[in-house]
Amino acid sequence: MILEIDNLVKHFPVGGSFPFGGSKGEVKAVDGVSFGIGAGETFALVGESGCGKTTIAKLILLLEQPTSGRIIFDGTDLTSLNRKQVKEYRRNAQAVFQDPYSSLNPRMKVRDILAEPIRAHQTMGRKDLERRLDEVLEIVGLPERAKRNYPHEFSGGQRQRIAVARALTLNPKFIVLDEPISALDVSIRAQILNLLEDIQKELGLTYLIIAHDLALVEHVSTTVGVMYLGNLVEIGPTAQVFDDPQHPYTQALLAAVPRPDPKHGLSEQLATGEIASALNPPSGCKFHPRCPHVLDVCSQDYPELRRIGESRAAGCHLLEERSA
Amino acid sequence: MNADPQAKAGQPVLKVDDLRTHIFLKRGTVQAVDGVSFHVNAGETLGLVGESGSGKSMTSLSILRLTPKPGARTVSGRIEIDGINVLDLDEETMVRDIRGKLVSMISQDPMTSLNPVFSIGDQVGAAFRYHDLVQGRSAIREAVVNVLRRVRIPSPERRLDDFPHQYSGGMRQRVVSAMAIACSPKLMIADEPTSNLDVTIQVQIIRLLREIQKETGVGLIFITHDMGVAANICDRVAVMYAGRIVEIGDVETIFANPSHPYTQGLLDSIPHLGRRRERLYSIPGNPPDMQNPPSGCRFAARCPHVMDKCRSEYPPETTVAPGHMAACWLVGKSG
Amino acid sequence: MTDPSRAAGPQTAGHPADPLAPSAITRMLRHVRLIRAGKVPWVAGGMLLLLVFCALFADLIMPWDPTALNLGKALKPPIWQDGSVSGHLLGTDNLGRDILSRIIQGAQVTLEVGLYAIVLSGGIGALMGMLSAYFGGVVDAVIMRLVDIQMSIPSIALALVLAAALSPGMSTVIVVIVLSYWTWYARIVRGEVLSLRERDFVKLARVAGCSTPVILWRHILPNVVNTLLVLASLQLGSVIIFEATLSFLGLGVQSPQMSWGLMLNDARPYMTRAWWPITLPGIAIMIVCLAANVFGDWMRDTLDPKRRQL
Ligand SMILES: Nc1ncnc2c1ncn2[C@@H]1O[C@H](COP(=O)(O)OP(=O)(O)OP(=O)(O)O)[C@@H](O)[C@H]1O
Ligand SMILES: Nc1ncnc2c1ncn2[C@@H]1O[C@H](COP(=O)(O)OP(=O)(O)OP(=O)(O)O)[C@@H](O)[C@H]1O
Ligand code: SF4
Ligand code: SF4
Ligand SMILES: [Mg+2]
Ligand SMILES: [Mg+2]
Repeated sequence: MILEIDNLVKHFPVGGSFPFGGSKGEVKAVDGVSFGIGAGETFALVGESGCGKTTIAKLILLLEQPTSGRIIFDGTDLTSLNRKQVKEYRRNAQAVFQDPYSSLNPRMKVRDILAEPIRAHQTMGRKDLERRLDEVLEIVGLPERAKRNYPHEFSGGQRQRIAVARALTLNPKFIVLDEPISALDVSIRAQILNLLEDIQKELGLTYLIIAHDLALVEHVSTTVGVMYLGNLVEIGPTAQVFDDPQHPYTQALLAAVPRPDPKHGLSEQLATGEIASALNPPSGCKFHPRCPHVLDVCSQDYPELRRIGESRAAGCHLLEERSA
Repeated sequence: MNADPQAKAGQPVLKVDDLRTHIFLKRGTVQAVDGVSFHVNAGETLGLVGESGSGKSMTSLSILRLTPKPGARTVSGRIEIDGINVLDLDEETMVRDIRGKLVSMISQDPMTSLNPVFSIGDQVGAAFRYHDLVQGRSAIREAVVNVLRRVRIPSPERRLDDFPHQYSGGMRQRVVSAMAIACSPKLMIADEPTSNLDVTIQVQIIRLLREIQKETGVGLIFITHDMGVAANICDRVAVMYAGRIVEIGDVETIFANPSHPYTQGLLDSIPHLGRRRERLYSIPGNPPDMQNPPSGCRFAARCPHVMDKCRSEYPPETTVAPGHMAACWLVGKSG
Repeated sequence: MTDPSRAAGPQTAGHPADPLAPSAITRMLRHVRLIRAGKVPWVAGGMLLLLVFCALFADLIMPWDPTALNLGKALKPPIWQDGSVSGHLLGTDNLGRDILSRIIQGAQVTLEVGLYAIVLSGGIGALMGMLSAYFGGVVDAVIMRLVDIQMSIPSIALALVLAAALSPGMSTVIVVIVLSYWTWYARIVRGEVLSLRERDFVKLARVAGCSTPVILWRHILPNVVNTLLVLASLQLGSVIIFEATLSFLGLGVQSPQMSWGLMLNDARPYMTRAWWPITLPGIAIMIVCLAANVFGDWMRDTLDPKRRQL
């Protein structure tokens, strides 16, 4: 395991401001999540908007402080690092975000954008620096002259290539990809995904990818974690989870994916009702107001993740019934 | 309400002919929509698909005469809604008789379409008040409850006085839909109404739109870049590329027998559930610069079948089969 | 849809207190043909340049010594009016000093006060705004409470107290202006930085390992510079009026130093006998103020990438 997350919790206070009044409540963005990512894996996090995927990514990237829980990278706990160790960690963990328009500082040339991570960590001679930049530009398939331009001179897809190149400059082991293609055009998405896959093979990287599009997750990931309202509800090898989803939410999610085939028709609706608010999540299993198989216990007891077979787990009372 | 939707089904409610909307900027002119023709029949859904920047939103804004000002202008073409050429109308008539009444719009972001400081009931009721369809407080209230019930808001009598932030994303999208159907329009334009929603909620909205359509016989233009959604909701699909429609036809035809190389590439590049760990096909290259579009076929730089002719001359819109048109030199050649 | 023009139209909320909204002056001038022809900003810019020129080369271009008394020539009108004396283009004041020379000399003080006040209040305000927004939490709360407190103290009252404590003078004027205006910058810069901080390139800079000062300097500051420039040129107008007010009340610049406000003060007792000693500096104030506002509005429009394209 290159990265392990242990009972990670992040609550955001909302409303109220210092020094008057306390907060009006807490958004339980991440509410006790544990999983591990093996070296060379592509771990995908899926789930509806607002379920806490980006928050997990930010916690891993140390952009937010966890409320509680541990994040262990390569054997060291990231929550107790000093400043120097944080910097060392940043060398190994980089990120690509969703919006290629806001990922690149509009006032910096591509050269400076790409050189920034290197400059933050070491002093490198001009020649070596240029060589490194040319290398990463070549990896992402952009011409060397791109260095001289500003971000606005590139299309969305090209910008995302620049963002990937920048993430590669420090030779990291691990890259967080938060919806790296959702802002891109349909016809460009495949280009970027294939590029990311090639780079992974070539450099032996580990990816944590966050995505909305389940068909795409199935294509690119080796392991998948399904989240609902701040909890992991199912986790396992992608092929197994997609073939035989165990949690009712995973089932509903997969059934709802619109197929690009008019003959297929609209899928049956497995989950009705609205997604609950993370401010005021339902008791017990958070999915229970929408679940077609809801049991009496579901509104009272939180279903812990249970192992299913070798490498899978899901959190649902149905599974306990079955195994009992 | 429309008494007999079936009687009107099949009649075109919208005819767009050679529409050109350009955006005039200091650094040049963006030919955002450049010669687009299509029609929408009553009771049918036309899907408008294509990549970002291909002019889908600009086409729909042109129909409503709401192109961003200053800058964008419809320079030529004809737009007939229910027999009225809206390009001849003045702004006042558009506001009074067309927008909201004859044509309505559901936009992508339900949060910005709803005003946070007015209650849901006020905002939906404004549609009735504005077009003088219903008079009197209690009558309006009743009409609002009815229309909210039609978009499946649970216990609308009680949720009427809530404010937008008290509704979830899916419910807000339904409220926007309620506002769109309030005045029983002939045509509804939905610009990526589901792209911000979770798939499980997305299915609910798509079902809802289809049911509304069945009930009222409204014609619907559905803009999306999700081919899966398009396959599920549309009767016909128009594929846009760089400001033009390159292919239009029945949804089955477009998905089963696409004729235009761009449509083919688009369909090949979408991932399918169940086909895992295959390499994704991707259309090489980038879309053209809309300020200086190539003189010939706009897809030529990325097309696997490009010929010399393609680079010099724009291919005419050629009928492949009745109701199926494609603009490509390959079409009709092989016969 | 109730009102598509509202729903689909641009969401421009022109809150009156928003200093970045077009000033009333510009909104009025929009109806004048000149501003649509795009010439007014140039005229305004020219006026400001003229002010700078006068201030820099006052000693060379002043026709008279602005402090030279000549009671024999007191209160002579400008040359286009009967009873004028040759050489005094804009007439003389109650002590026979040349008004044109005094206005030119006054430009120096005006500009000096403006420059110090703007640089200091802009610098302090921008720094506070940046820190407040970037660090959030307690830092933000403390700075914002300071801003609230500051904004609830009337500037004139502050001036009175400070004048009593520090003795009136140019530096007091500057201190008062800086104290009154840094909040203006702090609030607006804070707003900008709050949205910038959420931009991905700032987060990515942290992921890349950049330190906070580097991020503030390289990523945040360059992106608020436009706003600062606009605010500064809009502030110039207010600063001039503020300085004039304080000096007029006797709380600001003191003789023998000179400023336009002080000229108004000097001329007040003779207002009924001679219109020019009070009107002409007033016009100077008005022109510079107008020019600064129009120029600031124009800058805001040109630097706004959305408007720049059209
Ligand atoms: N800084 C914050 N303050 C308060 N609440 C926050 C903050 N950041 C995130 N949240 C809340 O935490 C929850 C999880 O947000 P998060 O961004 O992680 O969702 P996500 O799964 O990435 O969604 P999406 O798919 O839309 O990106 C949401 O309810 C969000 O409103
Ligand atoms: N306000 C504007 N100013 C300048 N150019 C614009 C403006 N709005 C749109 N455009 C340009 O017009 C063209 C068509 O834009 P349009 O919004 O119709 O695309 P779209 O097909 O709806 O894309 P998307 O899928 O991203 O919504 C694009 O090239 C775009 O850059
Ligand atoms: S725990 Fe109960 S409510 Fe939750 S998913 Fe399982 S069956 Fe449904
Ligand atoms: S006209 Fe030519 S370039 Fe265009 S799509 Fe057809 S074959 Fe390709
Ligand atoms: Mg997210
Ligand atoms: Mg659009």
